[in-house]
Amino acid sequence: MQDGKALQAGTSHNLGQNFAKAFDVKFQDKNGELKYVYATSWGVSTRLIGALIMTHGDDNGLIIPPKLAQTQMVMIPIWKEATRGKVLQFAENVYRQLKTRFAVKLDAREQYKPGYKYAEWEMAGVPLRIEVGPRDVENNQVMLVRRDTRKKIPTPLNSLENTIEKLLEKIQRDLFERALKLRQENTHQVETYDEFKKVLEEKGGFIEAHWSGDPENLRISYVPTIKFWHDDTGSEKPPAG
Amino acid sequence: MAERITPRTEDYNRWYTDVIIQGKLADYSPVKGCMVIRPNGYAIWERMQQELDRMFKESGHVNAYFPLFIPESFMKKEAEHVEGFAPECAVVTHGGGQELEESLYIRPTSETIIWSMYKKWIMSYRDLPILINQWANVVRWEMRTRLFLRTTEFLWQEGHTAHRRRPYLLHRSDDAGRKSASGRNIP
Repeated sequence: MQDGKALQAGTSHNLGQNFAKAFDVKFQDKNGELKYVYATSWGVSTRLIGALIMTHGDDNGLIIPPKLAQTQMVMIPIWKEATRGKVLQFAENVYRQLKTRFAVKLDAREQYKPGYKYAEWEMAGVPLRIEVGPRDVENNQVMLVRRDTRKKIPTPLNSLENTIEKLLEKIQRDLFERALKLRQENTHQVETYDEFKKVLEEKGGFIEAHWSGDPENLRISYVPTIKFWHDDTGSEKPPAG
Repeated sequence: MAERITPRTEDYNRWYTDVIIQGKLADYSPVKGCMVIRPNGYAIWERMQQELDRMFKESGHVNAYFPLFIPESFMKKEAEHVEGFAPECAVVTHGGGQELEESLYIRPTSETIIWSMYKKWIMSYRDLPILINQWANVVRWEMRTRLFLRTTEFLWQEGHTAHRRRPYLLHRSDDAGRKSASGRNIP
């Protein structure tokens, strides 16, 4: 996560024969022999939404990766009394065209100003904003604004669909790359226990270290790592088994 | 204008909560430790579910549903299970105005109820493997809660598979979870 801490995202357990033995679940194999059944269990929860927020969010709110966004883009018409009809008509046409291919919303609410709508949709994490103003109508174009970088991209109508499709893929990729980079930058390799302690004290983050395989040993070196584990995020009791 | 979101550098924990509340993803509920997932938040969960469900089915899993209530005696059958979960369970002692003969635990996870059924369904090697997944809510009585990260009731999926041999392909849900969170991959 962005604060350099880890989050348990899911669980998976190779439960062996524990539950088969507890509930006396046996099967007859090909040779007619009775044997206990082997079990696994695995799960992910709504905690993944917490992970998404902490991995991708910024100071303006949530950023939803396009592939997980139920609304991929929102259109916001910008008009004054004199240009109202023209802008709304244009926006409506573009909206109808995009709707056949993308999860798009047209926010034509009159009781809110565009600036308010920008902030609201940014907070909700919608990956792409499409602004339509009087000048765009004249030039037969719209303004695409990325939620993640806030970069503005004027786009003519005749290449709009292809541009949007490529842009959504790029946003998806960029979000992943950015998160990956953050993790890599906060991951340190150490060769000795002294180094381990030093990195932990001075830098924190994630440490890749060798481990003898002895649980006792792990417990000793684990104590200082408590720092990693966010009181609120990391100390979940492991589920059964 | 909408309210301000605390910058991450100022207070990361407050930033996290602000993003959720201002983004209308979830809200605190009248029940302590429980949260309400609002439409903006639930939409994300639905997309995660769709993608995970597609992957589960593609790899041969099927969905089923087991009861919310687990008889007390089931909880005590597997030692580690009792130790791990019993202290954090909600327990129903009354139903229909009567005290129950056997208390019912609200599922913290469903291994016990599911394996009690697998006993009925598994006779021979021909009945295996069983690859069942359940989409459900579970309850774990938490003292310190945080929106989405730890709440007393939460939504999840739990896969419970039964095999003839010890499976060596691990981290089924880890991979699935990683893939779900950012569409394909989460670092």
